[in-house]
This record gives sequence, structure tokens and C-alpha cells, in this order.
Amino acid sequence: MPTQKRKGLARRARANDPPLLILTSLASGAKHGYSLLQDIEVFADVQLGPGTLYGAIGRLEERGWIESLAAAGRTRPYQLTPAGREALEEMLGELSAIVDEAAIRLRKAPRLTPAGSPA
Amino acid sequence: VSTRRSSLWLRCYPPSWRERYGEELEGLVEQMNGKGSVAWRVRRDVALTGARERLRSWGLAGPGIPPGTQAKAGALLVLCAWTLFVVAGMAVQRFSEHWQDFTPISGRALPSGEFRVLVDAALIGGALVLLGGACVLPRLLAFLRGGGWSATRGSVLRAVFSSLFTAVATVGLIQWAHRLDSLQRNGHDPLYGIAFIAWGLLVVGCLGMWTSVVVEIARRIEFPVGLLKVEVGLAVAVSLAMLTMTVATATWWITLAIRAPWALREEPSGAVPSPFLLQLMAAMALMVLATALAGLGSARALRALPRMACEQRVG
Repeated sequence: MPTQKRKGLARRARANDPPLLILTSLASGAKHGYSLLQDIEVFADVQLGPGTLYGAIGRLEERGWIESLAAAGRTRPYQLTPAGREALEEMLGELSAIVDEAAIRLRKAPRLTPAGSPA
Repeated sequence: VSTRRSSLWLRCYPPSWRERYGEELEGLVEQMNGKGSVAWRVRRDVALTGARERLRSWGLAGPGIPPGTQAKAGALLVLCAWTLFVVAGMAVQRFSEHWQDFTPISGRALPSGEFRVLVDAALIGGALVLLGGACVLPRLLAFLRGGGWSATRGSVLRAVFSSLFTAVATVGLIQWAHRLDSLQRNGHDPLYGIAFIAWGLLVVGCLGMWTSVVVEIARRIEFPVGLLKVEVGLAVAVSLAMLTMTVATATWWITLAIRAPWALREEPSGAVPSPFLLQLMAAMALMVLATALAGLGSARALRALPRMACEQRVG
């Protein structure tokens, strides 16, 4: 992957980014706001605020990565679009590239001893 | 949580956002908190996101804003900052009337020079703002002829009435002031003092209304790339003029505080009063705030230029 593209993605794909968390949550099916918050808290241990959630939903809808379904009362479920699925795959690819790189470096690096203790 | 309070939070968000997501967000906050009071964390989150969405709708924050919108928003922020600066300038102007009479001739040269810089920069800044308006005039006329008048008539008329009211109040206040002596005019007549403050608020309100009208109309007008570049250049120049004025006012104040502190309070030579006058401190704070806002606006507008040039090349 070219460095420039990787840099751009690295900025976008951080594990606790609300858009990434929302896309990941929607990957298992359509959800409305409250279900999204609960699901994200379960799988990522991140408590998103309601404003942050809808701010990110707005952005994702604008990009065409998610779409809303028919409203049920005051809530409206959202689902992933094909473009959103593609974007999520790209983000995950970038994240796993970082994870793989970290694992390789850790394997190569000599084991460190705490400062001051005998080697 | 009461619906009324939720609706108050939603006022932070731009109308289009509220229309699309407002009800859902309100529903979610209610669902999260039931009938209990809303947690501080949730309130802060809703308010901050609202402010962010508001800035985004103005083209002042967030990614994905078209470069033309971003450049225009930056230039308009500089214009708003200029209005704020004018208000601060009005407060400083009150100190500019007699300080020379109370300063010994030997200590007058440096503060006079600094004050000259302040006045010259104000004239240049004012001329640049007028030039910016003149450049947009043909587009403005075309906009008004093309149905823009009916869309903005309400705000324009409100600003016109506010100006007329302020003008009448100004005439009344001047006539009143002519019947008072210097001491009464300078704080010894509480009724006049209150009227003066009310008049000041009227002027500030009037300036605010006109600025809001200009911003509202400018956001509706389509600016060609060339005109946008000119407006961005003027905005940067106005920001520099504001920076110059802020520095000149601060150094003038410091010089007087060291050499003739009595002159700031128009007291006899030799007295050593505190140079920290509330009105001057408030004016200075407003100047710094306005300059910072202008700097942000300029930076935002300048950052949009390369993308604008790129789009122009592609187009």
C-alpha cells in the first residue's frame, strides 16, 4: 500500500473512532441509536455519548456508508450500505496492517529488563 | 428529562440538523436516562456536538467542507471579528479624547506614536472592509434582483429599523449631554450613565444585526474563485491590521502606565493611580479575542486556497 494512502487511512481508522465503531456494530445488522450504544459498549468497552453518536451517524450518512430504514416511533434503524462495507473492510485492513507490524517488531525486539534490575 | 430542556439543548444544533436528527437524539437521551436527571457527561456531549455541528454548518470546522465554502466562512469570521473589534475600539476611543492634555510634553512622543499607529491601522482596516464590500457589490445586486430580496427582506428591515432607532437615541443622548457638565457626563449623573450604557448596547446590537445580515446574504451568494481569493486576501490584511491595533493599544497602555498613569484617569499630574481600568481591560480582552478569531478565520480561509486552486485546475 502506498505510504500516502496508508497515512490517510491511519488517521481515519483508529480503534476508538466513533465511525469505525458504528460501522463495526452495523456489520452484524441494522440497529437504532440505543442498540448501537449498547452494542458498542459491549464489544469495544467504549461509552459513546448520544451527541457523538448522531454526529458520526450524520457524517456516515453523508458519505453514503450507512442508510436509515423506516422510522419506528421516534427511533430510526440504520444499516450498512455496500460502500460502507467496503470502507469498513479498508479500515480494518489498515488496522490489521498496524497490528501485524507491531507483532513483527515485538518478535524481533530483544526482551527488555526493567531499568535498574540485573540483566 | 423534560422535553422542554431537551429542546433547549437541541438549540445548539443547526436547524437542518435538528430537523433530520433532532427527534431521534431527543428520544435517545430520554431512553438513556428514563425519568431521571440527565448525566453531566451526556449534557456536555450533546452541547459540544451541537456546537461542532453548528460550526460545521457555517463552514468553520470539520472535514469535507467544499474549499469555496471554507474560504468564504473564514473571510466572514474575520468580518465578525472586525465588528467585535469595532465595539472594543469604541471603548478605547473614550480614553483617546483627553490623555494628551494630562501627559507632560516630555513623555508624550512615544505614546503619541503608538496611538498614531493604532489610528492609522484602524483607518486601513476600515478601508479594507469597505473595499471587501465594494468587490461583492455587483454580486449582491444580482442576488437581490434575482429573488434574494424577498428571502432576506425580514432581516434587512429589522437592521434598518434598529439603525433608525439607534440614530434617534443618539440624537436624544447628545441633546441630553449638552445640558450636562463634564462631571455629570462622566459618571456623576447615574441616570445619564444608565442611558449611556443602554445607548452603547443599542449600538452594539445594531452592529450585530448588520453583521448578521451581511453574513446571511454572503452565505447565499455564489462567489467565483477569483473574487473569493480577493476576499481571502483582504481578510488576511484586515486580520493583520487588527493585530497591529491590538499591539499598538497594549504598548500605548503600558507606556502610559509607566510614564503617566494619571493620564488614563484624567487626574492631575503626579498622582499614581492604578493603570488597570476595568473599561480598558475589558476593551483589551475584547480586542485580543477579536484578533484571535480573525486569525482563526484567516487561517481557515488560507488553508482552503490550495484545494480551491486544485479544483480550478481539474475543472
